[in-house]
Amino acid sequence: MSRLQDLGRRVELQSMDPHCHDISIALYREFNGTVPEYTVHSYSELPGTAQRVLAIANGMQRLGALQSRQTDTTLQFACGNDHPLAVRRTFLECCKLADPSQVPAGELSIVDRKSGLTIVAHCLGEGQYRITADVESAVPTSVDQGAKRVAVIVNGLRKLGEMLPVQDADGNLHEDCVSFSCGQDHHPLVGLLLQRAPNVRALVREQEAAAARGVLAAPSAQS
Amino acid sequence: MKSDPQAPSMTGRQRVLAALTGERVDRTPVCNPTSVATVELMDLVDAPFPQANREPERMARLAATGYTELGFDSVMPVFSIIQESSALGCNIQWEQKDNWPTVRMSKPIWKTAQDIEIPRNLLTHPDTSCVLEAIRILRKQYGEEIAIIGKTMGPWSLAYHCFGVEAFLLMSLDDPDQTRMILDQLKQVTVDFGIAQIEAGADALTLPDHATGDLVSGEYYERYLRDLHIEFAQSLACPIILHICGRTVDRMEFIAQTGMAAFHFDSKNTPAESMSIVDERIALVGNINNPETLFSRGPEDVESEVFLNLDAGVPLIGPECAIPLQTSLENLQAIPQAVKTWHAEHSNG
Repeated sequence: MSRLQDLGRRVELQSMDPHCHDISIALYREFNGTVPEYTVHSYSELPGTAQRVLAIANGMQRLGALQSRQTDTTLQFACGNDHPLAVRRTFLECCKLADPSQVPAGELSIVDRKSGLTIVAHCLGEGQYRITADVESAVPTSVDQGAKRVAVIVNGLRKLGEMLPVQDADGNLHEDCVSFSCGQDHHPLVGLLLQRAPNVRALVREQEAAAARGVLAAPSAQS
Repeated sequence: MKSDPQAPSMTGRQRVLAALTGERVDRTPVCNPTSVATVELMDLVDAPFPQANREPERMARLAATGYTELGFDSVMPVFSIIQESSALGCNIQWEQKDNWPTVRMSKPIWKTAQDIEIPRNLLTHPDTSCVLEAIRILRKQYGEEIAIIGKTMGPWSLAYHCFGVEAFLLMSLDDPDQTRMILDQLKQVTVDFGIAQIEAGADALTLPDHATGDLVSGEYYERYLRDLHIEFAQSLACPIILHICGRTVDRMEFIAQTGMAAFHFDSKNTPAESMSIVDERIALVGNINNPETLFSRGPEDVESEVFLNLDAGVPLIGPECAIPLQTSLENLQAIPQAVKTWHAEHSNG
């Protein structure tokens, strides 16, 4: 009799949790009707595992504004929609923290390390956000540099959160705006993604390195 | 396909052994000639790498999950390809839970055939005796229920480990006589470790010999390895499953001549073309793609590949090689499920 649980489709995995005996913790998704529900789970029975899984689920509520369903470790977005990349990013960011349940939600502004500019996400309603750079916040700087950094961050938000470009009624693209496909606001999620958006390349490299581990190469491909 | 749904229900062991010897089966067996260990299974039974590669109880516990949790008809406790190389004295990087142990081939232990010295403790070294004890544990625990598959590395792979890949390949070009001497001396390791595993309770042995499609031609296989592999098939008294990665259709004709029971083949070869070449002289197993399908896609894609193999008449179904340690459990469970689905559909219709 298999002890494996039917938790739906695994969407993300932390192979080794440095904060809890190197256990593996995974995020599973299954649909309750049309509503995706995400479950944080570990098969480990080592001491502290249950608390760690709960802390990550709590952290995802704080940092990603997910809501608990049925059990404390099963979550969903308030909008009831699937945001697959965003929820994976939320899970991975929580796994990096020793106690994600105690970390405050990210704010809608960051200081961009590369330019020194303060970058702000302004909520426009209906899931739309305008990204601006406060060109007064860094010296010396220029409007051009501000626009370049906004473009980088908009691109980062689109990649990390699958956020969409925003067009006006005439089909003109607002290059400084992004939106969620569900049409609803997710402030804490934007706050979380905004922190990583300036350096998406580093995250991609990190993900590629993680994916490459554990793949057995033939001796001819080893060194 | 020699499956007979009217046949009495078989145990996993009966099913695998029948398929390896070309006999009829009640349904196609799900067989893993290489590892199906994952990090989540390691957690489930508290048997993480590297301990599960070095401690027999943990090795056996993790191997058993292939049967108890995933529903395969076989178990395979020899997850790595470095156990006997460790016993030979190679420099091993044991790694952590989420990665495979490897031989540091940049630090070869031998340069010429004259350097070869098989240690007296080859079979009592902790990293080989661990395998033997794990097989004994599994045999005691599961009796006749499942097929226990051991693994003994072929001399070509051992030569990569002991001499370094580049040095050995260059030697095979420049000095064929010395290359043959090396293979001839190292084959004893393959045979001795194989026999010890059979005596410990292994039902069949995987014999990886990495004359891989990317580095070694079919002509090379015939020149250096075919006759050696014939010897192994004759001297090891159980079904042997030869494993070679990569595109290997250019040597399948020679492989089919070896007398081995099965060839564990890579997804770079299509099931239909491979079945056509081997022409029932040797069973085929494997082919479910690891990096793209099992690792990156979903159960529906796994099912499609299983069906492709079954439609082609491949007699044993399994992953193409040791699966990535981060592979999802639902994708692995999809393999036996797909086999059952395929048989249900075909028996009804």
